[in-house]
Amino acid sequence: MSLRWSIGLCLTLSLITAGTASAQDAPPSAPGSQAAPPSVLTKPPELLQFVAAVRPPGTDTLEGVVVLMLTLQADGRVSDVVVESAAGHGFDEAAVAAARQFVFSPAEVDGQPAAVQLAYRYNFTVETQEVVVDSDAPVGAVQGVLVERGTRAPLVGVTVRIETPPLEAVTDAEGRFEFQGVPAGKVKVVVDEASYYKIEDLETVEAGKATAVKYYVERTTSPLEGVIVVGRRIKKEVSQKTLTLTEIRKIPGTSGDALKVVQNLPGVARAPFGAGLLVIRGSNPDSSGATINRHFIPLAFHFGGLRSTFSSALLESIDLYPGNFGAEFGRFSGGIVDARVRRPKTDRVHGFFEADFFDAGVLVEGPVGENGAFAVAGRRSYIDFLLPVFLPDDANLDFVVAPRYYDYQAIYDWKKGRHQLKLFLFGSDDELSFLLDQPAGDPAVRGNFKNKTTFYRGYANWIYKVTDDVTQDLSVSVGKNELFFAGADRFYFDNDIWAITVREDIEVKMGERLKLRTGVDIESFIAQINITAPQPPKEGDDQGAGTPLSVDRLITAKRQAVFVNPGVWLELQARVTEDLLVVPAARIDYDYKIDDLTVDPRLTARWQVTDGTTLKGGVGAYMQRPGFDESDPDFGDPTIESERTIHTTLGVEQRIAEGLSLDTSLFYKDMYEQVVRAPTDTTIQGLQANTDSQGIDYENIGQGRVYGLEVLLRRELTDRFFGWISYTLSRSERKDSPQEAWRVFDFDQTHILTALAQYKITSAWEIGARWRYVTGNPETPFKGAVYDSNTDTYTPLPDGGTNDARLPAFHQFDLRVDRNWIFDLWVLTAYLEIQNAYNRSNPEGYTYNYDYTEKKLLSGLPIIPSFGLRGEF
Amino acid sequence: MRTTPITLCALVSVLAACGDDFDPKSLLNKYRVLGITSDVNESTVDGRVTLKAWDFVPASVGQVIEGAQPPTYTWSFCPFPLGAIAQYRCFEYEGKSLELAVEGDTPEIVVDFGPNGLDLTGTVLADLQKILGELGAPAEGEEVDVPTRIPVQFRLVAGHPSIGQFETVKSFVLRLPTAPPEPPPNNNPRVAAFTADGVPFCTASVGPGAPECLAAAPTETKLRLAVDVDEPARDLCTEDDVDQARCVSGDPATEALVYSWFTTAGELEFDLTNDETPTNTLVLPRRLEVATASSQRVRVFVAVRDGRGGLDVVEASFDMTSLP
Repeated sequence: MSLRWSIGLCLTLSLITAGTASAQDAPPSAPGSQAAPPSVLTKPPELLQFVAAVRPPGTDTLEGVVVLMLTLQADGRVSDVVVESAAGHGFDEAAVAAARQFVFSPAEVDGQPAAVQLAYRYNFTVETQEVVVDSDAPVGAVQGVLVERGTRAPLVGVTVRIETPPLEAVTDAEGRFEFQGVPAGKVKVVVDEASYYKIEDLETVEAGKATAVKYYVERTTSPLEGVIVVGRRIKKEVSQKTLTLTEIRKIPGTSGDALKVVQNLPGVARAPFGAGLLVIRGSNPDSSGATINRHFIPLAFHFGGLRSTFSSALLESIDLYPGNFGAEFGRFSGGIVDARVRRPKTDRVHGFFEADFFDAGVLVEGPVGENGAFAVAGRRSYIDFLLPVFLPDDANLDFVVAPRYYDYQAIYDWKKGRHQLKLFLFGSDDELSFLLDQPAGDPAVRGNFKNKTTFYRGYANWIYKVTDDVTQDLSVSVGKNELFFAGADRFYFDNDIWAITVREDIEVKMGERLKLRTGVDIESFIAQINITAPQPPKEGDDQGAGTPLSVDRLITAKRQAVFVNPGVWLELQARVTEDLLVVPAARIDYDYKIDDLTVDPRLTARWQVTDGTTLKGGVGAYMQRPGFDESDPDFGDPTIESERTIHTTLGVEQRIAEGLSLDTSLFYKDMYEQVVRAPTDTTIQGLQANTDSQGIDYENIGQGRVYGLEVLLRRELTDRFFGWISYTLSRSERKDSPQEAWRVFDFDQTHILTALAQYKITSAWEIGARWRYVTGNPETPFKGAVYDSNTDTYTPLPDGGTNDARLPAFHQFDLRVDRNWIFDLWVLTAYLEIQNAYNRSNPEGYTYNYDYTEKKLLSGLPIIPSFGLRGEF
Repeated sequence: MRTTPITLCALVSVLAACGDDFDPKSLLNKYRVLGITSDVNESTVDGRVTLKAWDFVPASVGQVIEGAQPPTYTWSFCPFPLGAIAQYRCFEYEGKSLELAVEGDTPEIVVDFGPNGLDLTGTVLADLQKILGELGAPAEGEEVDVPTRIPVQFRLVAGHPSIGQFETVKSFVLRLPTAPPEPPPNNNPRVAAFTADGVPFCTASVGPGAPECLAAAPTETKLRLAVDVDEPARDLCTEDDVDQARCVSGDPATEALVYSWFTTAGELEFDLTNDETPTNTLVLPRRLEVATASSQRVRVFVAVRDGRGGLDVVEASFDMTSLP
């Protein structure tokens, strides 16, 4: 009789815990990553030292299974063992005592050694029959390897049995096992491990020979979910919402696009037609920015918001800062969406090919040498092939280039000792070109229209942990934005802009309770500007889309310009008590174009009142530079100054149960010195229309206020389920001059409710659903028009004040079903996504007849089933 | 990065227009002003101009019904218009609109800018200097940049109890005494011929009996309409026209014309056509409006514009007969 051990590394490596939410002090990482709590397990722990449990007296004939939850320190030592499922008879205590002596290789999170938790199954078994091997009988050997089906990951510490004679072996770190002295003939090999489907296979053993076998063992849950480790580093933000890649990949209605998922979080308004506008806490879309590793990119979404311009598959997480964001971010007064690129996988080569209704993409990643890793990815749309097929033959429209986009990314990541180097090359290209054979409604709307938007970036990032307490993070991004559009054979916009951004962030840990973070953030542009175009419309314009192109005067700007805008920031994370974190900060920015220096002090605080309750608050100043045209000497007024906003947030985070949390925030934004057209502007334009004076006068006299409540009830990802309910109640108003009354903002949405859930039915089937309800956008109604005899155009006459009316409410239900097929070497996933499942005719605006005497609701997209495939290895 | 929305809006509006089921702009089924022509498109402050409103009055609401009231015409003049951005309002000075009433209540009027009419001589320049000085707030000792040619605006409010009001504006250039003596030409374009399937419409001068004119066409007929413009009347491009992309390339470049098409029955292929396409196709309806009638009078119009005030309007008509 002997003890046999079998080990089960279960699916749920779940949580890094080095303390509670208020006392976490994770291993140092890049300074800039402080504000990114979610992390990804990049290297699982391996059992290096196994210690056998001592059977309790009198249990020699008993069997039992104890499931333990082990907490591993960053160095791989076991710091805590908790019995999750008891077996009794003293087995639990014996298993705990043994497990405390285990030693694992350090797990890595985001490429850094980190503490993790893992479930561990300890089997107490009884051997009922001694193995008697006839030394004279012919014997052979069985040598094999166990890998996970689909992912090809080696299965470590798994027991493999031969039934007759009864033999057992445990797989090593590479999933290998071996049986010696196996009688020649047929033997049954059995693998029966928790979380995996059982394998029973007959093998033929020849005397004096080794039989080589390889088993692909399939998980009972999907193998591609990965393991998400939510790292609770010091959380200092008061409004931050974080999404991890696994959570967002299958959210209905988003086609798996990470940035689009942001629009389901509190504080983010629904963009008309699902376009990719980021309207965050009632701010203008231009006032919010999107970053890749904290460097702003000029375009977050391809045409119409169909896809983000950076592959979601290469992202580790996305942080949404709807307000009160840290001093490391500046030049925007709305919100920030910060996407973090993950380290490519290092265990072996992986990749996927995917295709859906709009585009197809591919990704390959893997190790390079001992310390490096690479990833390359690309995607291209095929709307340009499909759209002409659906266009009516009699349409007064010829596509020269139907809507087409592509993007690409290449990543190299190297890490050794205290150094880490990241190199990215990524870019995006959108093009659309069509010819209007004859004028459409307005005599000026005719001829060739072309839009081409290209940007590319080279990015280098060097992180150096100077000492255990000091880390520096230098990143440089160099690239070009090429923006071209031409319309109506009349106006064009042809800008080439070299953009160079440099960030140097330094983090210094000053004792147990104090951390200093500081940095320099410089952006510079070399712009070749060549524009002939009418004045762009502005928020709150009464005419909206009704302003005829024919009556617009064209303005020309042609020159080269160089702008260098430096910024510096400083932040102190002070843990005043064990439960109270106070973060004073300041940022100074200089805008070269308008010669404006701004100083933005900011303060946030988090107080953990109880184990599950945290109060949070913040107040801070934020500058917003004027729009390009507003400060342009030809289009606007270069003497205007930056816009100013004060963010105030007060909230509470409540952990209701394990994995279930409620986050509630009240916010108020005071916007002042907003750039608006000077009240006399229309007169100036009218009177000086035939002179050389082209620019419009702008003044910093506008005001705004946004206030509201945000609620997020969130169930974190478990084996089978995750979801959230987000609700925003808000009001966003503007005044174009101090004398005017408040009016609502163009995208003011009183109620924004999103409920979404995803459930894994089996390892093969998964289902997700999303329902949204959003108050209709404000609308300025028209009561007819004035007819311009010179241009044969109608200019609408507002019926009441700006944004006095509203569109009907929007609501929509989206559904998604995923099906996996797991093969030995790869996994195929197919999904069906049904957007607008109950075919609601959602109003997106009004369309008017030629003289604005009749109107009809312009509906959004009807029910759209979309099918996609993804093959992954 | 506003480029995408602008172009996509253009695309969306075109695609949306493809799908809406409003009556087309080219279908005349209610009272409409099709344009206001002027004998000159630029004048000095003591000159005069003759304005004519080309309006369409449907039989059901117009003059042809015995006892029905004809439309009313109210004209006004604004020396300081604010343009489309302000819905063509007139500048208000010290709380009062500077819009001036113009005598005349007919579709065609003569406006005298001189002392016997609006009396703009002397006053406009003074007012302009005063207003620009206040708005522009020049630095001390700095001269106010006063233009020598200013856009002014005529407004016609045509009313009828059955249709409410139809408001039309026409921009016009007023040359101040400080302007150079040689004004750039801005003639009205002129239509030399208006044809259907290559033949002129029958008029009083081209009798219905003549074989080479169109007097009638049966329902469901497809007619190829065409206009010929008088090329010598086409102006050369000015510097401002070039800046505003209103030219047809050539040596020398000439102003680009746009054709607006209208019909009282049937469906035109295009509401508007560009300079290269002075043609259109009219498909007559399948049946007459009055089933018992033997024919129905169809009126077609073409307005030719140069985009800077120059305009000519031609009208033709024929009988649509039912198919045997």
